[in-house]
Amino acid sequence: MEVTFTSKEDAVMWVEKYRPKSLDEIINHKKTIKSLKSFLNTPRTMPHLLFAGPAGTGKTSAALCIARQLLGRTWRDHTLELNASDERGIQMVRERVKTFSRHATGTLGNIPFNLIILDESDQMTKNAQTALRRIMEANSRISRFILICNYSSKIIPPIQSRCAIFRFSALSHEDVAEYLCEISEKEGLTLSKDGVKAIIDFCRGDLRRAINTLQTASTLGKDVDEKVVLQIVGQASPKEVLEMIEKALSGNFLEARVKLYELLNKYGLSGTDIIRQIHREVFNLDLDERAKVELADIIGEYDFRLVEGANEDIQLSALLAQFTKFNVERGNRN
Amino acid sequence: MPDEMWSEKYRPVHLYQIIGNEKAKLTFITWLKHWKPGSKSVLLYGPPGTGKTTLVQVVSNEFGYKLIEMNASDVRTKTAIMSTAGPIARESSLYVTLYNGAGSILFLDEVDGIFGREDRGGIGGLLKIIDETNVPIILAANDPWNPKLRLLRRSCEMIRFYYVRPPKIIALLKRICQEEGVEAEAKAFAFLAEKSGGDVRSAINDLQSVIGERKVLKVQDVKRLGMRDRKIDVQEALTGIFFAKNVKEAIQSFNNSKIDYEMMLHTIHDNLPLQYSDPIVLASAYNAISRADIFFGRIARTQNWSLLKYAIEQMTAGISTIKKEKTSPVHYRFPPSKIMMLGRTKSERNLRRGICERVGVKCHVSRKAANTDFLPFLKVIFNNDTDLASEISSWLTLDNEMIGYLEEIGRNN
Repeated sequence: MEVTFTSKEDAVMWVEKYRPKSLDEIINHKKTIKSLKSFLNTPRTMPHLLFAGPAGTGKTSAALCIARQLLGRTWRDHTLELNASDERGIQMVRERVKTFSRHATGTLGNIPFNLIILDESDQMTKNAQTALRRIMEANSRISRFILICNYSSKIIPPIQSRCAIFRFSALSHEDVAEYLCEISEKEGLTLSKDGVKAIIDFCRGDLRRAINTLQTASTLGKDVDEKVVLQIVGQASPKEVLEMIEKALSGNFLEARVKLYELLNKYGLSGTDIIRQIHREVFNLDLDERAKVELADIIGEYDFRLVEGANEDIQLSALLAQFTKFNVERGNRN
Repeated sequence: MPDEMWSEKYRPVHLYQIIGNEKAKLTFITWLKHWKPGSKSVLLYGPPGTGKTTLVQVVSNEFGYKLIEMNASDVRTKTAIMSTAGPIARESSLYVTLYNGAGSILFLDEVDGIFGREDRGGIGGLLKIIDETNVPIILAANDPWNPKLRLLRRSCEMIRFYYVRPPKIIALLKRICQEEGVEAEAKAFAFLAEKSGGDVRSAINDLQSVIGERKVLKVQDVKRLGMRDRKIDVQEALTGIFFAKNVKEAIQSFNNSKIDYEMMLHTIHDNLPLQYSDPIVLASAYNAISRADIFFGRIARTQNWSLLKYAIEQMTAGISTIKKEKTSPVHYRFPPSKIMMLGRTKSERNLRRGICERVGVKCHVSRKAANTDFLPFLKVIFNNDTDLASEISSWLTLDNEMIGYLEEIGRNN
């Protein structure tokens, strides 16, 4: 398979520099891309779209490609990019959409419609989504929405039924490797096989993280191998996560909680991030396999509570308390 | 007299000096002017420091009544009331004419505080006096809905006193400062008024205690005062919650404190490991807090506030009912470290937010995604490769402070 890029010369971060400029440049999601391309020929038949899938799989890229290819040279004037996790409340979304529609309508010309790309739309509450549905209806004559989310199940059915839904699965390891090698070649890097593997181990199918890892690794030299990647990964992940787990598991709850507060406040990590990293680190600990599985079960329970609860610091502290208790009970068993 | 309490020194002498509660004043004077034997007595009620006692004193003074006052510091058993109030109430109008005055008024302050269990006859005796009295009788209470006062409410006209609004309190505090020659920061008055919750007396007391001997009033001193009060409140409430004997007592301890449920949740969370050192007890207690937090999460999503009771039960009784090692109250931490930390890290968080916003615009991601997927890499780049770092800085239009921040956190790792 041949990957070709038209590189954006001014972009410094590689994720932008090598972001696909047309749907043809997206090598994975064959079926999805084929359906999307059919809209390019008859734009006015394009419904609202809903892209669902994990991070770094090309949802935003696909949406931007559609904008560029459908709306032509002036695509930026007719595209409104919003991120539901940044915009405070539906009121803001409504205002922005309203002013955008009003501003952009007059010059519609030979442009089929205005495009509103709403990223992370599953971050909106049910009420906000209901309001969004009305906004979509009120603007549907002159605007199309592309909603992007991780989980389509978090989007209310009335919105789903108004959209054509496209699912983006995680990139296969081969596809990620393909992209990484292509970029390495363009940037004059020597990327070894074990280097590729190390990046994929760290990033799974998330291409955005993979490319960021590669670019960061390139700052240590032109040769990128496993050792370099691991060094970068180590520097990029806050060491506090492991320290926190070790303190909790050695019975020092108070110090573990201080580490947690640092991760939340100093590093500004979200609870979900922290729990994901805890989960990853637990399997690297020097513990018997049974203990790891039992800890993972506890983590799973609190991951669930994190989503249900109101305060991340409380749920994560409760998790650490369970770790401390686990340590005592295991001591008693042995 | 330097030791004089300002709340006494500045107690109003004339009617116009009493601030707030205009309607109550008018109703009261009208009642008094039209009172004749057989009329209802009056019950003034409302929160402390809103001018009930002052009004009675000022009015009787201005209209020339002889005020016979009994308050909570007097012994008010049935016998005491009968022997003091009885003869006055039976005072005949002839007696009034002979002595050439407007006569007496009988004032029983703080009636909700009297008549304990051992003195059930007290109310009965008082009711009898009210029925037969020849002089106006005035009662005052904070909580008139106390079941003990049920019968009294029937034979009295009820006059309600409300909290005094902040602007009136501020004006009064300013006047006092002028008279005392105190140099004051204007914002401090608003804080004091806010903190008093409409209680004029406590506002004046606070004012005096903050100023002390120094003749200056500063905002920071006032803030510290508020924190001190809340610290005492927190100590009491947490002791009450941790050591409650039953579910009801635990919830009651929370209800009695002035801390709102959110602050209380964080305060309990922060102090749990200080109270419980046994990991198994701590884990159970945290499980209860975690459950409470889940209810709060559901309330936030659904706005179903009827769930609040479950959350409060878990965060109070859920903790106190755990079987635990013998412990005693410790010195509880307040405000919670989370809030302290938010204050300390504010400038860092603002910087980070600024960086994430710029990344978000350029790389089509949310601030959150920028924080997790870009920032960790940027800090490594900024520490390894100054050329690339400066290219990125100008591409993202980072300012010097932001660049400094990225270099700094990169070095720390």
